[in-house]
Amino acid sequence: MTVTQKDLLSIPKKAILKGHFACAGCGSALAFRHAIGSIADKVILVVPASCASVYQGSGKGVAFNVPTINTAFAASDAVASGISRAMKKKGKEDLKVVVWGGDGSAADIGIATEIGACDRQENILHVMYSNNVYGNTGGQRSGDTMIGAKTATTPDGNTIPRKMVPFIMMANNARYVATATVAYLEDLVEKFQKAISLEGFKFMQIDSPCPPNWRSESSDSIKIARLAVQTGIWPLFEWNRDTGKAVISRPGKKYVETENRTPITEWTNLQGRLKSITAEQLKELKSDTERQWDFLRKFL
Amino acid sequence: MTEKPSMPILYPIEGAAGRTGDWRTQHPEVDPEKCIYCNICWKFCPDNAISPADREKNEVVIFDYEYCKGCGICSEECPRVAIFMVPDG
Amino acid sequence: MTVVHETKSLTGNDAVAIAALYAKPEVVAAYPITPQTTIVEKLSQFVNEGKLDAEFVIVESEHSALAACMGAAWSGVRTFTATSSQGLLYMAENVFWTGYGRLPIVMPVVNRCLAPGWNIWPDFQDSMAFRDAGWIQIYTKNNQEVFDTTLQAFKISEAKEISLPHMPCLDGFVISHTTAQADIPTAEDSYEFVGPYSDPVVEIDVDNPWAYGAMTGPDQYSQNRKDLIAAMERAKKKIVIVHKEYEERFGRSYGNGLIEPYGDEVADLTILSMGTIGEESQEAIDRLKEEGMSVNAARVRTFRPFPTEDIVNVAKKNHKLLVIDRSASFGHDGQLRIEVESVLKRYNVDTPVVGRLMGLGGEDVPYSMIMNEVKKVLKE
Repeated sequence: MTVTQKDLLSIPKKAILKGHFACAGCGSALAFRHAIGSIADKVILVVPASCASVYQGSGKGVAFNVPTINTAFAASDAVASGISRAMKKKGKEDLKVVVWGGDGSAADIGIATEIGACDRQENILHVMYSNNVYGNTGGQRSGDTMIGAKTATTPDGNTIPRKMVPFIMMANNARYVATATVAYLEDLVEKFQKAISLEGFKFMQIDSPCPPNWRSESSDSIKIARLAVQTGIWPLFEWNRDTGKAVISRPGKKYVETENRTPITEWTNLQGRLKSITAEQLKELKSDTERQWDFLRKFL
Repeated sequence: MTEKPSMPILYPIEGAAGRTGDWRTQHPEVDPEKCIYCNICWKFCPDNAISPADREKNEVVIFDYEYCKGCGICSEECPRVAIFMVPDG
Repeated sequence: MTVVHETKSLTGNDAVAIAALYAKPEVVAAYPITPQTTIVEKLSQFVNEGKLDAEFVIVESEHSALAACMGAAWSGVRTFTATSSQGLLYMAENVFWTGYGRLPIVMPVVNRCLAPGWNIWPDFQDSMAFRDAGWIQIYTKNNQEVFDTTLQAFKISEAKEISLPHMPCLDGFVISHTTAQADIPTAEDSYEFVGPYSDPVVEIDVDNPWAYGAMTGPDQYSQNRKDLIAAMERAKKKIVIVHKEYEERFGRSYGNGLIEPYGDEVADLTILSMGTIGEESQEAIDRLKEEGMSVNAARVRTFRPFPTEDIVNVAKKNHKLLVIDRSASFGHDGQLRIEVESVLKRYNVDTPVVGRLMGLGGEDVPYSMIMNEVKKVLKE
């Protein structure tokens, strides 16, 4: 069921109220607005330590207009499992349990918990919004940081290859795995809706621009996200356990072939974290990106 | 007599971060002649600080300056360059 | 109002599992660790046999075991798990989250030494490390008490004015794996005593959303902490009340629930201890009395909340206290000794206190060893 912009206009209720704590130009808050908004009357949110813990609010009240359980960094998927099981016992399986966390938890400290919930096929959706760093603590390298990116702990550019969490989930027999970006919000919400309609463990990774940590103009957030797809850095696809196949999403179809891609430098030049990437690092980044594509192509 | 334990619970409120409009150094303004009611700006605002345009009612987009953080995404993404950023005083 | 008991030969872990079964938790998380393992194995058996109608979550770590229980507690259902030693440490941040977050979770801890080296024998370093986490901690002396304590735990924890998690403690192997007889009531009578968790202290509600544990400042946080302190005080009374109700219903008691005195009311020396050393002390008392010595005992059952008033009363009546600790706060002394002395000072009671560390590392503490210590202390 295709989602159009009109659909984005008609959500049950606002999931996130105005005047929240997200930075100007935050991709995660934008994704939250539309994705969680689309199920705002029946969602239970589990938020591990992450940017979302902060942009939620502070002291007086919270911006999230949906039930939200904040958890320790590595605990979210286990807490979500407990909630999901309890709702099953109460006959309230129509309520959707969604983990909304960053790459710090989903790629690193919480990955065992995440994979455990995936193995057990818990009926939850894990959304990993990624700005490729530990955003909440000031932008340190995470498992999802790409090669060449300058971060608070990799001042000369990250050298460790990128962990591909979506592929890990596919290998662990997740029900449904998808990548998305805030540049294509209809596609994002469509995948989100698809995910929550399925039973079992679902995973979505959203490319989430972050002006402070990417050292980019806040006004460029959507542009950078779009370029990530057009340069091939961020493959857009969905994978379904039922078919065992990955399908490249419509906005990203063209860029499967490397010759159709926009030069990566158009994407790197808009971000302080990547602008002065060396030729050597750029070569390695391209090669690591191809590693992802090679893996993905096996499932097409 | 039983008391509900004092739990770490907070309730939803608008302006949880205060008047986030105070954060910005520039704000968007729309040229009503150029606005084509496409609502792409409305869609891409991370702060939901834009009221959608209504073609039928001839209403262009309206910015909520109480909460607009001045990120400039609306201006950047407008297909008709109908939104321009104005420095705040 | 008669209750029927069946005398069963069972291990301490069996007793825990049966008490949990009878309380009918709806979500049970399971992760094995020696010497707790047979608890979760038994529970999985009960689920398999259809006796326990619970969602059984076989998690991938202890951190997740408690996290899953927390999720269930937030959802307003009764939940259960158990752990020991390294497992308790691994779930540390969640232990504090549960206590400070006021979730009424019952989680027995089978006491076992902390590594290094790998030592599966009992001491109290594991549960003692969490005495600041806002959990009720009750140390048991035998299989019977373990059953009774675990059952009572649900009723105490889930009371709206309490809403504190509860850690019934049992010595690894000495209780957990030792087969002994215990009188077990029927499932119906047991469940009736605990009652259903029909008025949860917290429950997720999509129609009335809130955020739990969001960012907060000193104002709200300190308010939460003040109530936690007050709740612990209320828990002291509640433990005694539920203990009394249990005695009226099932005919068993352990002192007043906070401490269990043994022997004469007044003696030259009083042994204060916890766990199985407490039961062993009773044996020592009997034999020392035969030798003509004036000794009695007070087993500290409830360590958190600390039974200040009861300890002060014991000290006032008696002439000297020998406090036996099965754990130490390195850099100072045994925790029970430290806390006993501090409350005596606070209430201006000048009864002398002598402390001994015994059973650390799971060293066996037979009554003969206790008797020797008593004799040494009386000579001092």
